[in-house]
Amino acid sequence: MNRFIRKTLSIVAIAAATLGVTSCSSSPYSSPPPGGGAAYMGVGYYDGFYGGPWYGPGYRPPTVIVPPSRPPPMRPRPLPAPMPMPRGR
Amino acid sequence: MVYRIVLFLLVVASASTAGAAPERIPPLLPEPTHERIPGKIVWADLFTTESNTTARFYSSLFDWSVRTIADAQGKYVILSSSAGPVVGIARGPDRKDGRPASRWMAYFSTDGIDDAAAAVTQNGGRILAGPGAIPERGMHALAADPAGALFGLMTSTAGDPVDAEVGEGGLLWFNLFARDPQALAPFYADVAGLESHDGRRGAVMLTREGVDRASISPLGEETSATATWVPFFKVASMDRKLKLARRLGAKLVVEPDTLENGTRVAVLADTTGGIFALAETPHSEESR
Repeated sequence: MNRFIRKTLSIVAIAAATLGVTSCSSSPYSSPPPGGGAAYMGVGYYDGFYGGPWYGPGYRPPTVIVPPSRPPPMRPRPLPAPMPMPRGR
Repeated sequence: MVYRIVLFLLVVASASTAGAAPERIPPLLPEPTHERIPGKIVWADLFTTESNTTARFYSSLFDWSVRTIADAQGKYVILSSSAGPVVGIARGPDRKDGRPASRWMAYFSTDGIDDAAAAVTQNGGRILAGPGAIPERGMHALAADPAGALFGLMTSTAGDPVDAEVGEGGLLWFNLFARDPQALAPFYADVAGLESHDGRRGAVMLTREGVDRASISPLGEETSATATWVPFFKVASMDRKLKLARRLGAKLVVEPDTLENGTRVAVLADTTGGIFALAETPHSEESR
């Protein structure tokens, strides 16, 4: 009987250690998000988080749209100077 | 025999748990640039109560692929075009009334995220989360400006995407719609180092080192709409994309209009109320 209990406990201990290591190493965050919950980075809800509706009876569309202004493509950086070739003796 | 069965079951349980280990959110760029372009908007997340619905909507509209990352805190989705990752969908907090809701958040690149976060609160804004590290991706903070528009700060470990031509479905531009654009310019100057100059009819252009990075344009006083950063996605054909967007359930909230530089723009609400814009540039068809 003692042998049975010892063996079972050892198996459970090994399994618990394995499961514990696995679950601890899985968080993508350096620390738990404040407030918990399922939201990204633990961001919490407050009135106004999602803003007022852009449709419905109280909605008036904005009249000014700024033309998108694309930044110029970045120039490629100059290549580094070629390394001097080692001279043979 | 009993021991063997118990051992087998535990090994299976252990393996299945290890297999379900959450993925990590990947770096911002598949190919690191190690360039830092402070003040540039380098990423956008849709914060939503409905990750699946919105992922289906945007992936159908722009023909993007969907990669779902289920982490310990909830769900994060990366939507990618053939050119690479375009935007993310982050699980947002539930509304008190349980109704679906979404809002876009633009991330500014910064090389000093703690100072930038401090500047948010010093200038009347609010830090909602962070700054904190997301391994592989970098340092993040989520914030709201004094007008209530959500935005993020990011120091990407892979560097920032360099300025390049934008393809179909790519992020072409960001505009903040707000009641008083002039009042917000000093806020983004202190937080993101952006200079401002007056645009037409009360709009403000935000620039850094001579490059336009974003704009702020006025919302009318008598409207239910509140300040929001809006991403502009480049499309090859406005008419075709509008038709598809409506079929998918989007609402048109600003009618299509051709602006002075020849770009045709329309603003829409997705099926959960997230506001985004389509932009057909004079060269859109050529870049297909």
